[in-house]
Amino acid sequence: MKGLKCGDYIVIGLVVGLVFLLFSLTYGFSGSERYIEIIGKDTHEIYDTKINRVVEVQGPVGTTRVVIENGKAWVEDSDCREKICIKMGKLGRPGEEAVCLPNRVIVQMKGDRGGVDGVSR
Amino acid sequence: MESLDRQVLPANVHISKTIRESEGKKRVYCAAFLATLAIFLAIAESIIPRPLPWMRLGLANAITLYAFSVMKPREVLLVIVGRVVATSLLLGTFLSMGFLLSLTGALSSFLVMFFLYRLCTRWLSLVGISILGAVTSNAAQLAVVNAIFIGSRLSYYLLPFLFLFALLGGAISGLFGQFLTKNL
Repeated sequence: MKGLKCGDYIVIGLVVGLVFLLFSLTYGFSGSERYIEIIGKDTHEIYDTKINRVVEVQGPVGTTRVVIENGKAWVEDSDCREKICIKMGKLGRPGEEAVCLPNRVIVQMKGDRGGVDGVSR
Repeated sequence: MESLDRQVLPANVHISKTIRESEGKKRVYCAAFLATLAIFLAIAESIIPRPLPWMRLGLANAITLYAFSVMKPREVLLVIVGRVVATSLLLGTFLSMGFLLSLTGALSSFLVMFFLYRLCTRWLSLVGISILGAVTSNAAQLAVVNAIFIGSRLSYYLLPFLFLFALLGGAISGLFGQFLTKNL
């Protein structure tokens, strides 16, 4: 470009940097504060979503096996009758939960809800 | 074609020179002339569909940039306010939310561009001034939206998009303004 002066490039760079910064601030870090809360009959544990692991919780009916992997958590196996906790699927967003009533286990994804719950038009 | 151009606009007529040298009442006419050009650009640009109401190219800003080079700041302000009011009258948004926002944006970007034009022309060309003006305009509009709809977090999610479009629109209208300043 012919007519541009050096300050212009600084301005363009600054604004591009600002845009990236704002994008990462408003959209990027929303998942950083998440954790998994597992409440059993006698236990109450909190796990980091970033570390993959398998947690076994003992309850009145038997064992409930919770898998935490790649920022998601789900109940893989439970000794209960209806298997509703397994059918809840993978918990990937804050606020989602899987509950096993017979075995008295609650698995919850906690954290800043961020973003928009719904939009009415 | 060339002869037709000569008839409409003789080669010895120099718009910038005419505006600079005119005095008294004629200066107001010159401001009105520039405002008319800006209104034309603003309305031509409003034909382009846009996903967000205040996401615009800001071509009218190119006229403001040009006006800085030929007029006193007071007259530039006249061009800007005249453009905003007349455009909203023509588009039917006078005294509405959109009018309030565009007036806020236009006045805040005028302030920033005025000081930049005064102080930083050694470092900045019209493109940089225009980009910074557009960024200010969008930020000010968002501040007004936040003040009216108190506690709306949604607007923060718009901010990066607004700045991105301010960068693109500001650069385009800045280049256009530079072209006008050099050639008119």
